Amino acid sequence: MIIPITLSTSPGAKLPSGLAKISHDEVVLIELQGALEVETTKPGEHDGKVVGRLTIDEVTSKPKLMIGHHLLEGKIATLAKPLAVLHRASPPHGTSDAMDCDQNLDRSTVDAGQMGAGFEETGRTSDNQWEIIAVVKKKILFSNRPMPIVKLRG
Amino acid sequence: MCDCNLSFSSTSSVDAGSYKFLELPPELATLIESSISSLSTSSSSQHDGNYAGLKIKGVHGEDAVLCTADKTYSMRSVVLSNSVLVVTQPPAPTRSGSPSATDGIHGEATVDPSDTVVIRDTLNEIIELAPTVPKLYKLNALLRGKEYTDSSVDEDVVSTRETADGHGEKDWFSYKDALSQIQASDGELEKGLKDRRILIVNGYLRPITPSFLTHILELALNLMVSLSLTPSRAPVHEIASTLADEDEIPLSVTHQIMAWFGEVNLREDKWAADVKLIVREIGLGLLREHGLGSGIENDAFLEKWKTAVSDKFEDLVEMELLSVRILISYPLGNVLLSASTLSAYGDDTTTTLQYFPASQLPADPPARFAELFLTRTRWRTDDITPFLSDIAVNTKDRDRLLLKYARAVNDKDGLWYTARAQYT
Repeated sequence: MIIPITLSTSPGAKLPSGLAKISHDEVVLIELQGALEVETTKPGEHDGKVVGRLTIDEVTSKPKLMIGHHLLEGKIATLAKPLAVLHRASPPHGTSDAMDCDQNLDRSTVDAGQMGAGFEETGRTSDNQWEIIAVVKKKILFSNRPMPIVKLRG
Repeated sequence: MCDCNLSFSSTSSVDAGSYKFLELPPELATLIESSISSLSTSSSSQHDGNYAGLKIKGVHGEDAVLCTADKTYSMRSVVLSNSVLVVTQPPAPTRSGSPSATDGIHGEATVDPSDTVVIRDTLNEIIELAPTVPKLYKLNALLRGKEYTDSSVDEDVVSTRETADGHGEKDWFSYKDALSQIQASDGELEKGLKDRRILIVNGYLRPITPSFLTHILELALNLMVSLSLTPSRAPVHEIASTLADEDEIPLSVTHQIMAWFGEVNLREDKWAADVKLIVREIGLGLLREHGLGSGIENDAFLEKWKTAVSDKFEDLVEMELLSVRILISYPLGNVLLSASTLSAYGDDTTTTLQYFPASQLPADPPARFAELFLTRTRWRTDDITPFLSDIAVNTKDRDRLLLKYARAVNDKDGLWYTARAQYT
């Protein structure tokens, strides 16, 4: 089975200039220690909802992320090796339920054998295509714990 | 100063799982970047998105590999303790799956679209790539029983006829099958077919039997001698058609063999034959009859070899030609052989040759080393390295294997490699 990896040919929307100049003008990576935890009752509920406000100081290039009453301060870090961001070019369609079952089975066997990655990809149909949408060399890294903000500024 | 809203994408539940990170080794990053830049400069290549020729290959149940045009990388998933958000501009509404539903939320959430960036996906793993050897050894198993012998010459006519009638289709393995099933880049596969002496007959892969190959090569050499042709500028057509007329060897087969052993230029009808390579192959063919346990004395072998390649080329005969694939068992003491073989070598000064091809050893490193150390208890570096070259990516990788599976021992004769586990 062959899964082609293509390069993105259609340019997407450009990020605001402050984010675009970090590494790539369409994609920026934000690394968080831990994860964003969102309580939802049904899938897709958080679609389109605001997380917080991201600020990058032009002079010091210090990124800040304000989520509710919490402030995260981070830095712009260079990746050890460049990362290619792959995007599935053809998302699963109507028959995805059956395929998802297969996929889950695959994943468990792959994990059990400590085998290489990517087989969740090959377990699917061969018309699956992955596209490299960007090669990213830097990321925004928030490695500290969030600070509580008592009084919001402004 | 950048100040923008960060929100979940209106398509984030659809997008989840549709992004992956691939960690790029420097050479691959350069390749992709140069492909991207050449893509953006030349608009004509827009329809050809697969510019860098990257492919993931493998059949169900195998470890996936990533292939470029000429290299193979193994893929390994590494789990991150941190989570990485993929952030882009909001996707254009026209591209979302169900516009009516998503647009509603989208409209509420964003006051000014240019001020908002969205989280498309959250990832917790990176796919690491490491250069690996192409998994060509699968060919051996897949092509067993599909050898091309001197009797296949007639068979083929029959089998193609049968195929035309719609029956008699044997379970052949085509070049196209190989491209999709063999975990190797296209370049490596092509080289692998050449190295393994696998013919493509009517689109199917047929490994030529060594004896038949030796036979054809001997015919070609004899023909060149009898027609007094210059090996560096031999006429392709004349040789191929003579072999076809007199020995019934199909033209396509001769052409492929000529390409293995030299450069074929069909337009100028020239074959720059690599005579050394031919002589070597003939030597190997002779040596094949002397496997482990039925060794042949050095001088007797050289004599036989020289006869086979005819007087004109006998100067080219030398042991080094075969070095990659044979085990030269030096005078007793350095080599462990079975008792029956031991008694056969009365004379300590004679060198005995035995056919011991690396290609028939196991591809799995522990099994390969076990086999090597069962054949000989200790090896010199120069002796063992030819038997490792096909399972190691480079010399560094080879040394890593030696370090892991063998024990280096220094004595008055120099450095030896012995087995880690002693089998005695």
